[in-house]
Amino acid sequence: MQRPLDRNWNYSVFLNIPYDKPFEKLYLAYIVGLVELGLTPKVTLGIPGGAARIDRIFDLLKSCRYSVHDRSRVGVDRKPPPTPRFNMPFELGLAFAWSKLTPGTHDFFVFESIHRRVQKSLSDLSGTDCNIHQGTPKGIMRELLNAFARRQNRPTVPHMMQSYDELLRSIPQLRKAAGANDLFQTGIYNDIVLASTTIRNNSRPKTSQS
Amino acid sequence: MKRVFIDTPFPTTEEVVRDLGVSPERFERIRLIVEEGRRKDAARATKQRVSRSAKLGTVKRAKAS
Repeated sequence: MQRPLDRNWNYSVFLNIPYDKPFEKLYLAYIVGLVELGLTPKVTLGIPGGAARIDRIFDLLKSCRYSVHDRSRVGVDRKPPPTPRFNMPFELGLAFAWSKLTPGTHDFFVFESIHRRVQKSLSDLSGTDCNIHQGTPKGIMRELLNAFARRQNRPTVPHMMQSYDELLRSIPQLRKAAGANDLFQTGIYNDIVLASTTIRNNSRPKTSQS
Repeated sequence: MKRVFIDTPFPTTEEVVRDLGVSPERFERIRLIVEEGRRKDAARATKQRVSRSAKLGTVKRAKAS
């Protein structure tokens, strides 16, 4: 486990979202939004399957000061056999336990697209405020700003959307350079985070400034 | 609503490159793609501005040489 004094730990966010085509724009919105806030999203892409997978996911979670769990995908995966996916709520459970066991070292946020739905899909979380983004990139930016408050150099939603649009225009080139069929692969994920960081630093302090 | 305050400095690009374990060559390629996109955006914006001005009659179209 990385120590809380590790600077990477301080700005790392475990991003717990679905990896599929319909979620692509929201996935990019999360990355841009977090990077604009001076945070670095970490995802489980690239962690291989097998017995050690859950240990590595937990290690990744523990190496992050914060986690964001998007609970907007609650439907049944239609691929046979049709079944709901439980990985994301499981990881939310890990984050909950970790934050309880180590007070002050981990904060988690639950994001949803529909108001009050989480009270039904995960009623154990009743009493926990969710950030409702209405399934739009702009909603995600707004809710990230509600969750993470910066005292200085606070970005605005229009500024974040400008960076998001700029990233969207670079995606075909990034995809081509990475030779990636989709955006949910480790290589292109790193490229997207770096492109977002470059976009942010073109309009924000280039050195370590708060 | 739950809210946390972030006082940590913005990480520099170099710090993010190190954190992600990306090679400097790969980062340079990404930087060039972003710069290229930015140049294209600027060119597109200028073209739109000139076209709009021409329609409004505020700027004469350049004569074809």
